[in-house]
Amino acid sequence: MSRRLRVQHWVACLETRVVPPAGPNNFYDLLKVGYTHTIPPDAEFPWELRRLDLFGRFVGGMGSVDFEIPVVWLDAPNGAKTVETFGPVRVTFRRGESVRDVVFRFHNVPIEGTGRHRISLRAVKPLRRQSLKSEFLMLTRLP
Amino acid sequence: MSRPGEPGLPVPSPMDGPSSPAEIIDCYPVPRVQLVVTIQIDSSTDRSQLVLSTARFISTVLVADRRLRLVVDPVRSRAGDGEVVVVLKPGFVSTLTAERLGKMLDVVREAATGFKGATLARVEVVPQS
Repeated sequence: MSRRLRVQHWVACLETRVVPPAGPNNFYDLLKVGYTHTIPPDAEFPWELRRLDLFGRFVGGMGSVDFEIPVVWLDAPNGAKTVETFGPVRVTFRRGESVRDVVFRFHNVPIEGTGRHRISLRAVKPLRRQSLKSEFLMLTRLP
Repeated sequence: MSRPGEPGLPVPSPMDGPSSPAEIIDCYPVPRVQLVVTIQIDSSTDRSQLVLSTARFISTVLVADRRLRLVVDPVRSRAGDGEVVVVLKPGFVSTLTAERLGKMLDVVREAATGFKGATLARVEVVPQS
């Protein structure tokens, strides 16, 4: 099996809970998973999504890896626009740990308009940024 | 729903030990930075020569690292009292941006040596205002 780092799941949700008690094999509860999210009708842009969680399942991780997470507004008037980049976030993989679950939590994600948004997970390397997985959200305004 | 073992998906190997505890990592935006170049203009310089030198200088800096996608910020760039401050903002926002901009400092200094009629007073990477 290749030891190359892969991301098996990259799932956005509005809330995550860890099922207690704390231990080595906790489950995560992912709440409010969905593609379309609504913005209040009176909201002005830039608006902020108060909280967004991204659940990631890594396979084949070794050592420490730095990640960055760009949020791209795909339907911006002049073409795709990066509205924010989060990071660097370091995940250290333990020896012999072939699968690792991590939740990345974002606060006050800027939203500059309605439409499709792409949230990518990239491994930061000195010469290139390797995109591992993308999640997509649609933001619409409530009537 | 995807499962380990499906074609095209990575297959976890048996673990040697327990997995890590549940982990929720708070993430913060990458600090936005910009390149600020301050140039002192020699008052005796021919203006047409100055315009040409400026065009060459800016062009050299903008294309030195195309991945940074540098653009002149027209709002924050300014001129007065024989001094020109050029603010260059990167369109590339990454955790690597500050490092790449740092490498631009030498590029700017080198480009400034061929700047007729002006002297590089200061070049620095600073947080975006």
